[in-house]
Amino acid sequence: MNKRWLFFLIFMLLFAALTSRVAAPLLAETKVGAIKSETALEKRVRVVASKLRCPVCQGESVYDSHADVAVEMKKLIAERLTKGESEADILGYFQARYGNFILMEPPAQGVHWVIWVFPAFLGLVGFLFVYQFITQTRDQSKLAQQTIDGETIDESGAESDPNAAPDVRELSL
Amino acid sequence: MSDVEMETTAARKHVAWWQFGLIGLMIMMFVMFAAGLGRDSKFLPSPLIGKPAFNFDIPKLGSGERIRLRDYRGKVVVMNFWASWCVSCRDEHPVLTGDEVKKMAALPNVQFLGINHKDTAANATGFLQKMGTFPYPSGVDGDGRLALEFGVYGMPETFFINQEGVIAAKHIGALNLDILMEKIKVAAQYKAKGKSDE
Repeated sequence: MNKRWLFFLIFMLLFAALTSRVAAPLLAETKVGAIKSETALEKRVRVVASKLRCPVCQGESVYDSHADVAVEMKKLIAERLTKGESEADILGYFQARYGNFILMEPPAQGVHWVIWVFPAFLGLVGFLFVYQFITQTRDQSKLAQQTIDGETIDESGAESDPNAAPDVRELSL
Repeated sequence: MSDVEMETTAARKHVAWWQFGLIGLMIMMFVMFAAGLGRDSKFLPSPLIGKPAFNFDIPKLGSGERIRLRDYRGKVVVMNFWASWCVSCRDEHPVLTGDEVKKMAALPNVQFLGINHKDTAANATGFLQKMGTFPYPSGVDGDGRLALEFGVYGMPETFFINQEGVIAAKHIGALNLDILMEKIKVAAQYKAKGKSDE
């Protein structure tokens, strides 16, 4: 039973991790999948612009935002892609001017590693506390069971011991 | 004490160290997040500080002349992004058109520059006529590309460039005289490793 719980918890942690890393991009893909008439360049602009944060709206990506600055950034991305620059070049251009803040997913380096590690850390803490709870419960139940069994052995042993004195009540019969 | 009891006690002692460590780590992380929440959201460190400023060449507002940053090499440049549609720009406008700035703008080793951002010439000149003219020239950043080069988040923003063309300081939001004088001093004394790209 305990093993089942452990497997269940590990499964839930893995499921949560996969949901955030795999399902989210798939959902985003489904959202924009409706755009049928998208050209190859527009698609590349979308990919790059989705990885950049709108400087004035902050909660939105450059691709999702309709703010003036985001519109200008999309134009600039298209121009740079047309000139032959790679996605990394363009992201680097904005990162050099705005810092890591401009990236929707800050790189897991420096202080930013905390952002990536903290959710997994919280999951681990939760898992260890549950594991400890289960282990303690199991130990306590073992101890309790042993105590009960010990009492049972004493009673039954007395009854089944061949060398024990005969019951006086039997003799009286 | 039975074997099971001894095992249980040993297990409890064994888990105590990691429990202590995890709680300590959690407290540390929460303190870090709390410190982050307490920070001024306007404060965004610019990676451009200490880097050579982009040598722009833009049209001058209200004339056919050009404004080139390299023409001001050897001076501390105070570069203020503004727009007629910007509300906070109205707050700092009396400072930038005031007597103190007029005196500073007349100094030979300081150059003030306005950058009119994503505006129309009519709106920009109309704003200056109504609110007061700057005692220094303004360049035009009509498409906002110059603002992107300088990593501008919003209006107004002011950059302080040292005599070698290196960005020494930046201020997000409306200026006041204290901030202005403090950052000009910072720029005047700023010694950077990098040099401006020619």
